[in-house]
Amino acid sequence: MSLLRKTSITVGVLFVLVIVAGVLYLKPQTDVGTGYVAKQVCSCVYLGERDYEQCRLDQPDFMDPIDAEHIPELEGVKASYFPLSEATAYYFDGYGCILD
Amino acid sequence: MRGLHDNIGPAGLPDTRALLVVHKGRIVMETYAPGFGPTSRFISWSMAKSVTNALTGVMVRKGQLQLDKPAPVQAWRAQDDPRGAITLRHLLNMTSGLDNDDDAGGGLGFVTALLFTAGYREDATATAADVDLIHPPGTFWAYSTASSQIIGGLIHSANGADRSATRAFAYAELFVPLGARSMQMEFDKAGTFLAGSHMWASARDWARLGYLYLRDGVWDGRRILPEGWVDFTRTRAPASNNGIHGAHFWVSGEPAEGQWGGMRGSLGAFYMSGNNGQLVAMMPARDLVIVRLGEDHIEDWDYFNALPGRIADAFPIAGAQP
Repeated sequence: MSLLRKTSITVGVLFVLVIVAGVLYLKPQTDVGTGYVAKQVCSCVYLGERDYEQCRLDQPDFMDPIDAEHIPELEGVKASYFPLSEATAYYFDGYGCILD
Repeated sequence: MRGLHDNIGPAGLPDTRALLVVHKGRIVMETYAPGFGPTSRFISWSMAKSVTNALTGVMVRKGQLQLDKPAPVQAWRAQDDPRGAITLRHLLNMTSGLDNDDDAGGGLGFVTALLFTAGYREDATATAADVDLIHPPGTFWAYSTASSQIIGGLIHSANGADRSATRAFAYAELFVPLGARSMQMEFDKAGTFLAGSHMWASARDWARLGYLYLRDGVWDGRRILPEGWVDFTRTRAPASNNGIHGAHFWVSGEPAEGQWGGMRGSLGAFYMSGNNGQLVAMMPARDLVIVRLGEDHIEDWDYFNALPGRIADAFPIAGAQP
């Protein structure tokens, strides 16, 4: 095996390991982040009775990378950090917003 | 009082959205940021723990829960389970000894997993209770939203593990008698209310709850909380590493290491406190309830804790020399 080929394989393996380590490190945080944004924004809209945009602005700055979407027809809020995490909270009258 | 409204927002604090003062049973000050008003609901964050204290008190008064008997948690009932020694008093004092304080587990902490992570949040009470005992009950204080959640589970079980029955109980025995009709509980997927973190109410209704405690658990001549309950609530939890935590309420005094800045110099004051600066403070010596609600993503607790002191200065202690 040529030195160039060995080097390529080593770099490739290292690259994959770095990606896996990054995912393992980030995933618990993005799981919490998407759950947090879906739940808090949903509660703010349906219990706080405020506009979706205002509710989104209430979230801490470090939650900005998380995408969120109001789904009025389902009375819910979906949050995602593609491709790692996704969470949706739905409003139930009398019981608040519940994470699915 | 006018100086409290200068600069950044009401009370001079960043993003204060409601500020309300009750003196001798009457609202003497009530102000809101633009977009908010008397009917707006505000999130409790950890002030939900104090609502849970009240619901627990009602159940103790009615004989449905016992403060000093082993907490009837199904998962702890095995004869050799050391968690079987944990009482409701330990849970309210946050001295259970369980490995479930808010920072436990590393990473973002136990509380964030409990509330927001799939696999944990579906049944928050089971997640909160399914942990090891790491200190003898009653000896070590640790701030634990999970303890509140376990109490929520006990209230849920006492109401037939039926969320509609739990909700009906809370309204019939606490919210409606106080006239706190804006109060809303939130529930997890398993049907238990989020007892340490998620309740919503108007500023006036937060004040009503505070006033119930200022008046020793009696509302309009009707006893809501059992005799001695408020004294228990505002007595410092007996653990050597605790400074200012009572029973799901905070008390004035010197915080211990790891506790947030308390109300120094406010004799006899006790208060509910929640994330982002939510505050309901009771000052018996001045016959005051102070409510401050808002959304502040800063950690300057000394700044927030100065607020009730500034307001209280406008209301002298009865009988005291000027």
